[in-house]
Amino acid sequence: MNLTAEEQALRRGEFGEAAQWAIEHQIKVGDYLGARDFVAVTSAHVMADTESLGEAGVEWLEGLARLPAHARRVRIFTITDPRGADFAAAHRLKQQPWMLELEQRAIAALEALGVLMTNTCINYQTIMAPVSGEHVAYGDTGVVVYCNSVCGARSNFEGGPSALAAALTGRTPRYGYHFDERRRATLVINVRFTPCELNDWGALGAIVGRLAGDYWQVPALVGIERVPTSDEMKHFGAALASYGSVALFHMAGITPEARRLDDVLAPGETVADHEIGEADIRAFARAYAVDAVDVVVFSAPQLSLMELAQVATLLDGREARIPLLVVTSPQVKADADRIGMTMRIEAAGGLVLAGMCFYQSYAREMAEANGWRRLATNSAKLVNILGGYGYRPTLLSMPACIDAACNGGRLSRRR
Amino acid sequence: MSGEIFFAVAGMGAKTRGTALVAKDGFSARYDLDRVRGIFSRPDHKLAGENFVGRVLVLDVAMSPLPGCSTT
Repeated sequence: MNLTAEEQALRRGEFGEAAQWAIEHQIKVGDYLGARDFVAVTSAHVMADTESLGEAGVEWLEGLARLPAHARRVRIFTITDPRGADFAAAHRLKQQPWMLELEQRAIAALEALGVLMTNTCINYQTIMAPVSGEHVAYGDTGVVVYCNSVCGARSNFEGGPSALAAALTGRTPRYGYHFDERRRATLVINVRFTPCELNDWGALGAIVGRLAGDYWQVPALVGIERVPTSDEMKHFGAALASYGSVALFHMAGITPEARRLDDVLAPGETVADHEIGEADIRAFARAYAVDAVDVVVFSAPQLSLMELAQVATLLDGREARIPLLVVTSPQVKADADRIGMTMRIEAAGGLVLAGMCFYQSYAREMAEANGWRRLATNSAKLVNILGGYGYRPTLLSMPACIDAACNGGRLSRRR
Repeated sequence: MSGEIFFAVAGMGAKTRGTALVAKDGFSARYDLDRVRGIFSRPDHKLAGENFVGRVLVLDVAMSPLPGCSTT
């Protein structure tokens, strides 16, 4: 890679030992992915929950944290993905003391590096959305796909160490979605059904993700009949990234880089096209059908204030008879507490959790400790992930999930 | 043992040798693995139930541009 004078100084350790490790890591990543140079980034979003880090990862972070203050601090605005626990409610989920101790150690280490513990995967709804053309280094696939596609920002999927490295150097190897040419559509999806419910947006994202199938595919959707809301984009993008490892999509006439479909097609190039209708979305959900559930979870991505309001309204005057977990960011939780929304949900038997995400919070151990196996959610992303954690998940609308919780786990006819 | 040879677009790290576990399927350490028991745990993964401990994994795509990196 071609290095500037500052990058060479970083490599010599003139900006501290942490930044020296970081630039060496980034040069290896850049060489692997064919980057010729670095691009400056304005912010980093680091995935560093302990379910993923484990003891070894936490010890590694603590090693950086033990460096002198001048040799370990991040150089740009750096925030975090959800943690593995909401400390205030961990006992209600039967999370073990060792999980919390590991989380506390990771938090202390990250804070020593100057990382802001925002603990959210919806930073684009709650902290600060990047603007079109802004280069960033983000680490949660749902965050990346939303910010790339809806905001027009430029990021690759940056794994935990890579996002932290970007935070420490203020740059990232220039490859992939930092380039205009990588952002062109590689397949066109003709959508014959514009979803209404969030679970259907997720199902649509999952189907497109399966068709795309790898990180370098960029689907362009045609036929979406109205501008989706931020929450609809969030569920669509999260499922697309989860099922297809896709980091960028376009919606013709809607997303900023595709005012017209032609804007994102390479001149003279033909790309594959596919059609998706309502029957495909129904068939997708049917593949995950179960008769009853043990637990209902709203999470992945964390809920916006609008989604929390919908849950609270659906629960008014009713009572959940099986565990009903509602997971949001610390920022939204504070508003929900202040507005009285948390009280409404918890008075109806729900539990509002903040700063964690269900699958990043030792989901397998929670299943064993609580006897949970069959799970209802309106998140297609969560459905995709939890099979590997020993759950049998089913995808329902938010109203149908609430019905299931209030009917003791029995499923209503409502989808 | 098939004797088949696989080529990667790029590589990094030290050379290694071992018995391969091969599938034409995606890969995410978080989605697909029970990392405590050392098995592929996602039921619809083509390697479901296979023990990956001590094996060289050969898969066609990963949940990121950099196989094995930690994204979610």
